[in-house]
Amino acid sequence: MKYKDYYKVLGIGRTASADEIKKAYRKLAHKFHPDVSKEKNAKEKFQEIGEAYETLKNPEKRAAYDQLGSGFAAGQDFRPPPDWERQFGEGFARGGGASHAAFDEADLADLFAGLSGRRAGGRFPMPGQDYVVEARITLEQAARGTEVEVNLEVVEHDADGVPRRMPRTLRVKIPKGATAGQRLRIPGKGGKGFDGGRDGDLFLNIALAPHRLFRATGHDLYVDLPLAPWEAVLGASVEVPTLDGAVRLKVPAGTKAGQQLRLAGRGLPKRDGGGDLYAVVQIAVPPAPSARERELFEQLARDSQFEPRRHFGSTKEAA
Amino acid sequence: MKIEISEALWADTGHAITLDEFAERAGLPPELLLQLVDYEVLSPHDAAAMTFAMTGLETAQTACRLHRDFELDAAGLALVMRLLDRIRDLQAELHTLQARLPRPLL
Repeated sequence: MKYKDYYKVLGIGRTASADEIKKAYRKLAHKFHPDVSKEKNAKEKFQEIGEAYETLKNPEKRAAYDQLGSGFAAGQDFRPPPDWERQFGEGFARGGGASHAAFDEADLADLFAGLSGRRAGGRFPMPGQDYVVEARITLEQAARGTEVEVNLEVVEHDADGVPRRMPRTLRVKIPKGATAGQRLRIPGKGGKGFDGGRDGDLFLNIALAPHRLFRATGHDLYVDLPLAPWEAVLGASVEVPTLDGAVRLKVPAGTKAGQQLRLAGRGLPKRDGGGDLYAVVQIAVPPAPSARERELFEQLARDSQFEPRRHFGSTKEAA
Repeated sequence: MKIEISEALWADTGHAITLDEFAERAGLPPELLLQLVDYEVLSPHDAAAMTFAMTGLETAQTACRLHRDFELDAAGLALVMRLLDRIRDLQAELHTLQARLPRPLL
């Protein structure tokens, strides 16, 4: 079992009062609560903070934690002293005694969760916990449907109702048409219910991996479409990539930079129809024009009456 | 080890559930849930039968975490949930605008 220094996690001394513990927790919760925090590791950090607070706010659990001793470093392998096992271990490995293996394989949090279950009184149905995990998929997978592997640690109760964390791996079929921010449900694949309680559900929050060409918003996709100046002026028929291969797009004469040309139904599929693909026009110029290209542009510059900045008015007026 | 394949369902599929089941799944006391309905943070699927759609569960579970971790009452929760909604809407709008912006040409 790995030792965790709950006092250090909350940034308090071992003699902190109940009020100081609560205050420290609140301060950290404001910073790391995953529902309000922008910190990168907020979820993991808050889990650690929550676990520390769960133990230290409860006088019985805190006393049991304190009796483990303070001579360990965080992350160090340790075993509760034999007298500790006699005094508190009963709740952890009831009905058969605490085996050495049970202590070795357990997480420190399980030790204290078991402790609170010990005096819970009568048995009653306990529903399994719901779990939420992120499934990051590519645009191609979203468009065609896919299977993802989900690894999670679920809390299961043994025959005595003592909670234990169990690793679980699932393969989940994601239907086509999922997009970022959508939620999928896998009924009954969360934590196991206890004593007749229903099994929890597993929820998948879909996230899309960035794509080399396409940017997704909802079921619509955006792709940059660079055009040569003459294609924008004269119009052209150009190839545009889509998730199902390239298609030809008619660019009308006089197309401006920033215009969006819509390819209906070429976005991500939806349950009812499909999103659209928008080609966002960019005007590209030759990075190193040849002598002939330069000559032609110079001729155009001399002969053209086009004034792209006419709307600025005269510079004298502006001053 | 054989890994079974599970089908994922859209979160909005499935029947509406009762107030008690919704409250139990969300981890909220039913009376607090009803207060959140009054504050229009949550809407019942059928107001007469007081049933809830599964789509509301994510909001209710967020409310539960905030209630538990910050000890917020219904009024405080409603305010935070409204602000979180507003942040989510603004982030979605920002994301859409960013998707529409062309990238610099290479």
